[in-house]
Amino acid sequence: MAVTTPIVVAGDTAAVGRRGAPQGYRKGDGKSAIPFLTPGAIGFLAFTLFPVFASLAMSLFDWPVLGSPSFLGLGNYSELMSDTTFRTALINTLIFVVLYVPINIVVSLGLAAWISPRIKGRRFYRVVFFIPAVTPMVGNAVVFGLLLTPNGLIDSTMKSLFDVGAPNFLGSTSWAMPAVVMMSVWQGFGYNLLVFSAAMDAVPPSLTEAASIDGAGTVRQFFSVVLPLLSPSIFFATVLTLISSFQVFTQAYVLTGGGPGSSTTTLVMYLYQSGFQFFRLGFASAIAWVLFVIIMFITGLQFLAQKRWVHYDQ
Amino acid sequence: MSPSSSSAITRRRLLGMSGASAAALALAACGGGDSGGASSTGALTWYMWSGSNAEADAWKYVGDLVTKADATTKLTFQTSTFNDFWTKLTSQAASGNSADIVGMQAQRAPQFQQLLVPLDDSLEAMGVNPADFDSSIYDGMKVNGKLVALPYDFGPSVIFYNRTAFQAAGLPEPAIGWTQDDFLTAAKALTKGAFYGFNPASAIDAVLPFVLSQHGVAAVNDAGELDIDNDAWKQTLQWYADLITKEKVAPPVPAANTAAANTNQFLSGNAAMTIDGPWSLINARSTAKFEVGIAPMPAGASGSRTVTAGSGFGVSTACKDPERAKKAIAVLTGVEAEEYLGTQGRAFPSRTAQQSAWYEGNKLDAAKEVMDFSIENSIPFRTTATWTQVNDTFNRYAVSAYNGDSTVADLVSRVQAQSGAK
Repeated sequence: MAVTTPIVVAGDTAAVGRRGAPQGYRKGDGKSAIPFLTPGAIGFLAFTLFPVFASLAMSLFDWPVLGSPSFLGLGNYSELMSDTTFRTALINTLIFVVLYVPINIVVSLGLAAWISPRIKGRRFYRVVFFIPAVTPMVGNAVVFGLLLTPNGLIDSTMKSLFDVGAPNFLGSTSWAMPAVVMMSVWQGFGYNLLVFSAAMDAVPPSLTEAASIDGAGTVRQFFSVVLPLLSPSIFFATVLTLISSFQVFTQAYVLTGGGPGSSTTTLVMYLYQSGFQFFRLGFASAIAWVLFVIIMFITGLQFLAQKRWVHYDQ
Repeated sequence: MSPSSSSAITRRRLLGMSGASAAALALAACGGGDSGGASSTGALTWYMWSGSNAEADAWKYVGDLVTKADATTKLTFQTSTFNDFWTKLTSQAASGNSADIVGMQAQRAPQFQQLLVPLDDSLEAMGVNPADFDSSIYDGMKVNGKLVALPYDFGPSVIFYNRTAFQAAGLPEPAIGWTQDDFLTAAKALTKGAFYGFNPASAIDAVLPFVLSQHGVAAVNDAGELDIDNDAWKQTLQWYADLITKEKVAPPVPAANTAAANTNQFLSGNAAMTIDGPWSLINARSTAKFEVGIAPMPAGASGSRTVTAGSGFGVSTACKDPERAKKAIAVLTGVEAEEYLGTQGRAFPSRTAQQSAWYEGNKLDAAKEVMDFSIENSIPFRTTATWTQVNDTFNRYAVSAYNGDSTVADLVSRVQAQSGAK
């Protein structure tokens, strides 16, 4: 590994140098770049590239944790196609994505718009809204669990105010997924809010002023001037949020354990169970690859579609 | 060549050299990560779960007994919480990096059987006499007839009850001979507002003693196969679900993963009865703001029956010096260790002669009668090699079945489907 790495890195550096800044390229830079890039490249090879291909290889085997692996070919993949739990997990993940991504974008965009004008204490709000994003997700989930549990804060408050208890959010098949989405939005909106808030600050005041002179109201200004200018940020936020929401795990793991029944078992949750609880590493790797392909495909679609709605010029 | 360009080359060279040394350092750091394995010098690694520093210290004390018995052996204690323990043990096993000595629960032994070295042929060399141990947990550590771990503790599942609440309501306290009718009557009388008579849990362990007491069958049949898709299980599960939905003497089950919430609801004084084991009793007594009593399972048509479960230590197949490790686990489960763990209240000793240490050291003489009765009427908690799947599926589907979102027939058929899972 140590022999081949520098060659790859040197080639890359030279290529970037030629394309990016021809006048800055000097013969010999590549050589001194090698030692600087080697540690990072080794890390990338050892902890990213190697596991990626190792998992691809594993997905072709029946690979138990204890005992020896046996070759299956595409057996794990064909089992996935007929596995009802996998189908349920896929549907649950899609439901989560369809609910979570729009709500997250709307909430973070709405709050960013609200604190965008020079309202008093704006920086303070930014910090406050960002707190959930920096709080460990497991901590957030445990607190939400306490709020949502029967006799928890929400249930007992409703009982004392209206004499009617709240639903058993985490123990009911119809409420568990909305509860997981709600907790995820709380955890996740802060990051996008910061992105949108910064992008709104970059909108030139001259444009909104011009629009207002032309008679556009606040709403019209937002939708016709500010929003198109935010489109690169919205694109960026949507891509990242979508990818992370396909990988949803912690919230469901801590809040519901994937239940009740299979109502909150997501793809990554099923992957974890298959690999580390049921000891089927090959099968788990196959799930990981299916998830990878889905995410790649949808991200690719987003990049194709961005030409229609993302404006990079101001 | 201009002076400036020559100095530039020097700078580049200098930078290159410093970069190279940084890379070498990083490589060295990567290469130094060979951990876990023991050398032939008598050093052994020992991986065991613990829930607090005090608990870890108790284990370290026991670990030092090994060095005391044989000065050439030294144990390095590694630990994590109980829930993380199994995932970490799995991933260590997958990478061939298991500790030499590992903690093992009897229920999980079938699943980890391939990781553990059989001990049967070495018992004499280890100085272990099987007759010193309680037979139910000693047999519970056997998989396919082979002993894979030596037990240090065990205990029957029993009923914990809130004595203060029973006395305040003027109810007779649960005792040997009480029945499931008495149980339901007491639960009904105690339920008031947000205080419930009984706290249910979605785990299969929580309902198994009731199935045994009502129908005399366990989760695993004599052939060692999972067998719960039958009328006996369905009837008891329906009876259990009715405690929540029909009789309303038990609160709805909150979520599939809150195994700890069961005892916590009891300990925080929100429920009068729960099912638990002696391993929790000392903690329960010190945490609860009321008096905790213990009683055997209420008798059903098949009497008062329960299961015993426990934990012990095994030698991993990755161990390079298994004979040394075997001798070490003999000390970890030996007389002195058991005496200490029992007195400290850390474990109800699996060695019958040392059990008195647990009663005397913790002022639990009153519990002795109940414990003896329960142990006498117990069977080992038998499981299958796919027990994690069974347990996990049961947990998740029991929540919806108990809360009335689905049926107990659906629950048992889904769990039974896990019996053939790879």
